[in-house]
Amino acid sequence: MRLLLSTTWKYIRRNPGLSLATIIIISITFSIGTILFLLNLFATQTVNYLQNQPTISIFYDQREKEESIIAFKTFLEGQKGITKVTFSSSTQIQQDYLNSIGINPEQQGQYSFDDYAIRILRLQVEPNTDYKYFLQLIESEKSKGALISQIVFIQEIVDKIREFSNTVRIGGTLVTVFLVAMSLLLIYLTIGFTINRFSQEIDIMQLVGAESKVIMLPFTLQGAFYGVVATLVSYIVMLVLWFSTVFFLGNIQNNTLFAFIKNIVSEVGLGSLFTFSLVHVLFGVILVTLGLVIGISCSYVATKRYIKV
Amino acid sequence: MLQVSDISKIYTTNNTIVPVLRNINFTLDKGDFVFLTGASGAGKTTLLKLLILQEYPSKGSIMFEDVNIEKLQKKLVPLYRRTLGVVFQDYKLLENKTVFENISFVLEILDKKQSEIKNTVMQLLELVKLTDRADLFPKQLSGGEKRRVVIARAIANNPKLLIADEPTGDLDPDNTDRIVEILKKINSAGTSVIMTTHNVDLLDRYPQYKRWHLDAGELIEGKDPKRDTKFIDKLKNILTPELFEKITFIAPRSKQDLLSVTPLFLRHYLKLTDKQLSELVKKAKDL
Repeated sequence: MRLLLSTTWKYIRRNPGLSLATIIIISITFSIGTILFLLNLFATQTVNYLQNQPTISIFYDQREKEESIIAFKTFLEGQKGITKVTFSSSTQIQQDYLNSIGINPEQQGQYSFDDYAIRILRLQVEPNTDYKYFLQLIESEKSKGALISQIVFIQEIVDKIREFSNTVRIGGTLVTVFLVAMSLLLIYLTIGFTINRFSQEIDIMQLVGAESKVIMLPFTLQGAFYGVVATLVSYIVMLVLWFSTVFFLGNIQNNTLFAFIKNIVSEVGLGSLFTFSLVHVLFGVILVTLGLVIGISCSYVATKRYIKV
Repeated sequence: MLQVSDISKIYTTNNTIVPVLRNINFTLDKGDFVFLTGASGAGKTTLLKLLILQEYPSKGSIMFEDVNIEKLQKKLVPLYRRTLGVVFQDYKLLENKTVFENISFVLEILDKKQSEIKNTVMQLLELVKLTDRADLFPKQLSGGEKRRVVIARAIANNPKLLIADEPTGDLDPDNTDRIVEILKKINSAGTSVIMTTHNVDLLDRYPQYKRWHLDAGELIEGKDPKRDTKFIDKLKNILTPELFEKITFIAPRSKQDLLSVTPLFLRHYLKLTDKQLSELVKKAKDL
């Protein structure tokens, strides 16, 4: 074992430039791959989240009576294709908004709203249901004299995000496949180069009767080393950058944009990303395992190709 | 200990068949010391390569202590090689390792204990009289010293057979004598030695040792006269001229010898067509 490890280390040490280049390129590959994966995850989660949210929001004028709104709510609940209809009073809307931008409940009393009497009726439509029919129902209610000031429907937003998600998925897959192929090729060539460089040593080893595992294992370990170190570097750099950014932005006074983004990310089920948890550890383990598998398999193929036993 | 029977070696380059060795036969007993001579290109190095399984014979067999080594499974080849010591014509010393490390390297990869390695290397350095050169690198040594390091490395694992390819080729008479004296010492300890050389004076100075001479791929001494030398003539009478011409490259000595050649070899190296192959097998069996 000592001999295996010392031989492996010798092969790495004698190719410092190539070893470093291999590690850096694999690190970049894994970092880009991880970012694309997280973007795709976020987009997918957002689509799932939005699909479970009210798809049509009806904003009422402050002069509209609450009884009329409730009556229309009951009418809508009786329609086929509607999952849920919720009514939000103006107080609830104000609280929700202040919460979403990170204002503490005890400070919320300091804020006042111009349209303080705004009320919203939210309709959640079953997936794959044509929401235009419900828009017609609302328009017809409006024509009957209902004081509806605005109708907002988010189906288009969902479609746009889905489109974005698909683009990220396809583009990300292509970019990741290309970068992984480059990494594989790089490990393969690095191992091949090392084998060529040590060909005389390998020749002697073979002629004095060294077992093939003694000859080949150091190269396999060399590939494993590149894979593990590169993914570890990628993981640590990304983790440090992520938490530094979160820490920095979180400490800026009245940063409503960051609070809003944080709120959205949490809403779509990715809130655990903001504090170091088991998810991060698990992600690191998966990343390093992936690096290990890629390193070992690639160097194994190179060893089989370049060393004739 | 070593029995070589009817081995031939053929190389094919650009559809040209080059026979390098033809029907080599010899027996080497434990404790034998043999000088193998021959002009450049006579096949000396090829023969040694066959013995260390760096190359495989086109036909024939090599028995080492009753084991047919050319049929050895790949995973057993390292075990066989551990019974041999090889002194390479081109030294094959690792330039980045000291004399001590070049020798200990062999023992390390054979997984010997550190204490054993140190003792063995010191003993070997003493045998080849290089104790004071242990910490030097190959480029700091003379040709004779390098050769002695290679010998020390070759016998590090206490081989049964030492194969030395031109170990005195580039040395002056003093160094040549020193090398042969070392090989004699190794031989007297029970290790058989095959040494290739161009040096005729050396043969005269050591008449007690066996001499084999390779001439255009044929071993002149050590030939077995009892073999059927007429077999090739029989083939000439029964095969078509085109097929016979191809078969002469392997010059089979007997029916058994001919049938030991694999169809794959006949197709690939001698470029026999399927028709010629079946003709050959049929006629050879009828002989």
